[in-house]
Amino acid sequence: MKVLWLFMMVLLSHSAFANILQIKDEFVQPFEFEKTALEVVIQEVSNVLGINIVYTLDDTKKIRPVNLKIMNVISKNELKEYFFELLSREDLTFVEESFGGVVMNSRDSRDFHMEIFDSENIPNTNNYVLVIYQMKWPLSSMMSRNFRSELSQYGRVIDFRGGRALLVYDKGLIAKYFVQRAKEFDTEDNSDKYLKKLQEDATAESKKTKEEKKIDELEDKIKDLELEKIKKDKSNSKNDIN
Amino acid sequence: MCKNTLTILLIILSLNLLAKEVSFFNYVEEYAKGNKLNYSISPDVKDFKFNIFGKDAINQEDVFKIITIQAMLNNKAVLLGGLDSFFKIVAGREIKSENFPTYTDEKLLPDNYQFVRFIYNVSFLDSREITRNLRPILSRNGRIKDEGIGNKIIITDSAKNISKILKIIKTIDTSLTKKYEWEEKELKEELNKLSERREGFWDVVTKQHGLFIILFSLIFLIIGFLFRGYMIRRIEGGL
Repeated sequence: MKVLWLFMMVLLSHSAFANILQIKDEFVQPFEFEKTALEVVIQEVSNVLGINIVYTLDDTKKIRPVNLKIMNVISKNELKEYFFELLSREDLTFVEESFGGVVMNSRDSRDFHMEIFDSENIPNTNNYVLVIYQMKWPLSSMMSRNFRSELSQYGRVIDFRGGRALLVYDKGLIAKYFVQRAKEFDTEDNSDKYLKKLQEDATAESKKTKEEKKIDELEDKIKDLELEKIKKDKSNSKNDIN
Repeated sequence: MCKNTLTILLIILSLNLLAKEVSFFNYVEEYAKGNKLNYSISPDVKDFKFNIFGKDAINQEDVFKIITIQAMLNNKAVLLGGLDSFFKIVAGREIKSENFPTYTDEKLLPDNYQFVRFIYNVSFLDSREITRNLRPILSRNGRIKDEGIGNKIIITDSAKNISKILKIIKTIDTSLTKKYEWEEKELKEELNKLSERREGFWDVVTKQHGLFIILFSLIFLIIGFLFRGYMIRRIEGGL
């Protein structure tokens, strides 16, 4: 009797923690994660997708329990997308590797390898992607300077001014929006307007006295030094955590 | 009471079955033992734990990859080279003083995150622009520098991050971007010329004020003498 009771308990507890997701005909059946620990979600997803997932325990970060209710049957790829969505809420990212993947902090993911997409094939995903967009007109520096704020907290945009190229690193959906804006902006008309503006600025600069130019230079230097100080403080606090 | 305790114990047990929690040091030890490799861990590297979820067996190459990934995520680096069958794990701040295996062929780069050095010959773009712009996508301990004259760039970073950087460079290092770069340079020169301050009369006056004082003194001296001559001749009745 005791043995039966023990067996029942193992079975019950295992089903309560490890079998929320059910597969039927290669499709994931409706399910619910209600205040479920992220570790349990990762385990479920790794079982259903048949991949190994490595996850570093970060003691400094408090991960909230997960809530997700799926009412319809979904494909495995859709499940993956929901998984990315849950991770992105906790500032986590999934980096795919040959053995499966690694769940890591979004700020660390830029140190890792990821697929590079061109502007036509950016996936609709909540996971981070790297996109290269080659602009037709010399507007990349203006675009990266003025639209930087459209990116997420850990998003990055780098412009290769000489090569008229934009390198965007962000969640797929945000990168797609950013590149879409860049495409709309990338016209001959805008390029002419931009060049005219640069020429006007240069002419205005020529009218400045030496003292005014010196003041501008000093102001720029102060801004650079302030930025450098912020960067140093950030990297110091990062090293302290590690 | 006994039943409840047993239930809690079973739940904990079932939870433990879900994931394999491993210590980094033990994981490295197991790998080295299995492959008969020698290794050294710097005293500055502290142990930590991570989880591996999943049922599939992981092959030895992937085990090493997981070691290098975990090292990267925790500001450490795995280095190979030097002695045979030997690898070492060092802390982030020690990387600078280490030597790395050097590669020049992208195809030979290892498929993991061990630290290596790569030398790349830039074909079209200015190597300075590449080094300046690619710094933000290097890893925390990664370095990139250009030789300047030979258009060679030297990247020190994890092998897989270097292969990502090389893909980016190859996408933009084309003859078309070279053309764009020339146009950009011409525009820059034109704008520089426009922004140069053209000196007006008063600029010249203030710049050469010593010369102008002498010049004006001479002019006024001549005018003064002329006026004096004219007045004398008036008084004396010459005019």
